[in-house]
Amino acid sequence: MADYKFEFTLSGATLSDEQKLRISNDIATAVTKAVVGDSPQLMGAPMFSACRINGGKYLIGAEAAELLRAVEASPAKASLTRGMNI
Amino acid sequence: MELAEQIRETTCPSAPPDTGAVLLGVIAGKGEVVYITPSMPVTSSLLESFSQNGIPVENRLRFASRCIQHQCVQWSGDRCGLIDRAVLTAEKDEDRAALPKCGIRSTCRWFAQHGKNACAVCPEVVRKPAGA
Repeated sequence: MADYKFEFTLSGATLSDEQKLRISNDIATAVTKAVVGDSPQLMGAPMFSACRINGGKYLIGAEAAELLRAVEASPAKASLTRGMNI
Repeated sequence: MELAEQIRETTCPSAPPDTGAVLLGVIAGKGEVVYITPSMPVTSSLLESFSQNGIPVENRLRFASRCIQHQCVQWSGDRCGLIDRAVLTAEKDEDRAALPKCGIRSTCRWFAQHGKNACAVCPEVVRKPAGA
């Protein structure tokens, strides 16, 4: 596993906070584009594809399917799960 | 505010890109994260820059922020249930002696619970997987 370090030193002028922020943002964007490519494909995640991570309840596929069936079969249960962001 | 102040307690390595979060890394491929150190603070202009460049923020980037414990749906008892399940589910057989440089390991919630086993599973996590 290799590490790659890039360092930039700007000298000879006083940069405004806005300029520094823009440079920082542009470097981050450039690094990201170089890693993901110009037309990044959406990534799947087999282990976690049943639902959102951190933004929703973590369920494995079988559990998610079972819960969805239960919700569809019972409007009352559906109201209970509203807001779970499944 | 210094990063160390922001993460006084433990840090969630799969947080939403909200104010106070930092850019932890870039998802290079399936199960592969390029970690960026030091982690970069998230700003609205940074997110805008990603968006303008067609980068799906929550699918191809990983953010870290303070672990919100009981306020998170992943919280289970007194720990993060997500990493517990992930470590159990994953079948990783890698050389765990060689860990990547990670900007949050010293305060990482997942590392605190599972050590290097958490690091082995961490790259598998996509916050908003395609089709989810």
